[in-house]
Amino acid sequence: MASLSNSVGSGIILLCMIIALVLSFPLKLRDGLYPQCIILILLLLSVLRFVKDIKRRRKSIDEDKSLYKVLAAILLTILYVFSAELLGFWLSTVLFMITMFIALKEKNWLLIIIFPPALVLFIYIVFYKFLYIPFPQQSLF
Amino acid sequence: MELMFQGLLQAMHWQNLIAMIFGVVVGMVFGAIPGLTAAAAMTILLPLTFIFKAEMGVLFLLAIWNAGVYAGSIPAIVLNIPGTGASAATTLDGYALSKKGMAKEALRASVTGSTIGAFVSGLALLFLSPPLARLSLMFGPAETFAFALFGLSIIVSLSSDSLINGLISGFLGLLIATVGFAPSGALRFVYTPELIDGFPVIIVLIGLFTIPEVMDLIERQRLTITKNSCVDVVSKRSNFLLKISDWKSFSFNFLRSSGIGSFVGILPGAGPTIAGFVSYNEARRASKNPAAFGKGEIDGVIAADTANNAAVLSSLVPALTLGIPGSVDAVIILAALTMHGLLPGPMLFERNADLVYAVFMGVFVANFIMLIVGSISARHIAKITRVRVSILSPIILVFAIVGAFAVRNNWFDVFLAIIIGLIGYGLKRMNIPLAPLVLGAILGPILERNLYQMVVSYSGRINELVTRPIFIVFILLSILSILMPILRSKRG
Repeated sequence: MASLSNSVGSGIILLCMIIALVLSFPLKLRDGLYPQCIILILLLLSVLRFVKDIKRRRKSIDEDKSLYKVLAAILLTILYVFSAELLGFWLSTVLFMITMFIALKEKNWLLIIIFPPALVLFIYIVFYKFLYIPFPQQSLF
Repeated sequence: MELMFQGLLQAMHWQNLIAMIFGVVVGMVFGAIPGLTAAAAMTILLPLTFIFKAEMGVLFLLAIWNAGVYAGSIPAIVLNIPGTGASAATTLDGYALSKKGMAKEALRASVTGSTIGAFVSGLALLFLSPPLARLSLMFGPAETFAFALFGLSIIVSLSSDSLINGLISGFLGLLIATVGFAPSGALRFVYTPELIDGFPVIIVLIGLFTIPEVMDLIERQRLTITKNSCVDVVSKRSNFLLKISDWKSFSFNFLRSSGIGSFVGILPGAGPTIAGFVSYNEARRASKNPAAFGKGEIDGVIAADTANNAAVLSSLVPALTLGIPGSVDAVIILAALTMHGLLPGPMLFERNADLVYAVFMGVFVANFIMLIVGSISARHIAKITRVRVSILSPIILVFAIVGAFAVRNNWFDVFLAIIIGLIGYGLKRMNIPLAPLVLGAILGPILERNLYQMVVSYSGRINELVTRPIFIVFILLSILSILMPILRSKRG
């Protein structure tokens, strides 16, 4: 499994470098030569890595049980940023933390309920009121 | 001397003292939690230093860094898991001492060694930087290019078991750095106005040093304490300062390890982790009883912890004098300086001597604070390792997003940090190290600009470059550092 994802990763790098090379074609020689050299070296390195990964490929070794938690965390983080634009930072932070706690299987319900608003209050007082750090201001909160 | 005195007064200002105390506490918390690093703490809080005065911001970050490297030894001693990579060598004897019921002695040696190491490297920073800054005025584009290349090649060859992975990471960083203005003034790969000046360094750092670390924590659940943990051994109140009687037997080890750490730290690309291992090996070689090393030898803890902290401050020497960072943490310090409109390099010493000396003297104050806080709170910090991943991860993510937004007050940066973070996590899963990528992204513009100037100035007389010894030496060292892993693997 690890080897398969590695060769997929090498393939993605390879594909990205081909795209980058195409994007660099409109550049003048003076400006494009340096990035083109880097892209060509990266192409070569990712081919080498790809070949190495294919050679090493074995049968599936480990099924990662925690991977779904990582995917949930990534999804929730993206949703958090979108919701912060819509709902405002303070409310969306509370919602994000509660959902993250649940997704990561936190069992202490008292903590799930009390901690997010407490942290938001802490950030509000220390960073917003005391240190004057700019926070996203939206229509709701 | 007057500058030093003025600097000390400035560093002792109450606002700077509060910033350093806060920095030490934050650094210790992040350093003690396995999987999190001082770099992550520095990155998250870097945008906040924008509201501080320049010296206050830099001292705050240095306090985090120094304390983070020290505190990484706490879980290394009580859990056999280094809090940061820098403490990897500490586990060799630290945990063995804990199993013997000597965790307190190991922690005592650790805080004392860390303080001494940082003190000696503070002296190196204070006395070596000004002459090196004057020497660096002799550096032309060829020398600067060669030195930056050397720094990058070292980190590429040392950061991973696979040279290909290190090279991919380093070249990806160089490619990222080509976005924005080319040395000729033309725009390259800019498809949105937010990237007209290239990728913002702070956003790249936040993306690469918080999101992959959090995802890694969630994936591995690394904070789960094993049954073999010795956290409870240190839970009782006790004196964490080294006894006077111990000084005599350990004083030479302290000095040797400080010297090794300071020297390794100055080399670009090397850093606290390597310093710890080099010093540990030297202590074992010099010991009358080398067989005891690895089985619970206090000298082993002293050697590793003194050297890793000594490498912290000394790694700032090339960063401040030449503007070329030798480590990721030094990149963050340079980013803080740049954020305040200060240009690292020889002119920094001419134009901002007051700030430079305030920082130089401040590191001694921060070190003293670390000794006090570390001595008092080591037993409490040891318990931090019990914090659950489910609680810690959302908090770090919230602070990372706050930090990313605070840089330029826009959502684009937040999305960019998340995208970079996810790419970083993907690379990490592919065993591609992230440190060369960061160094490549930072050194990229320096390398390209100096290469461009070198090609223009030596056009048609390229053979004259052979007459520049500094250039030749660093180019040869760069080639050697890339060839060494290949030769090593062929041999072994």
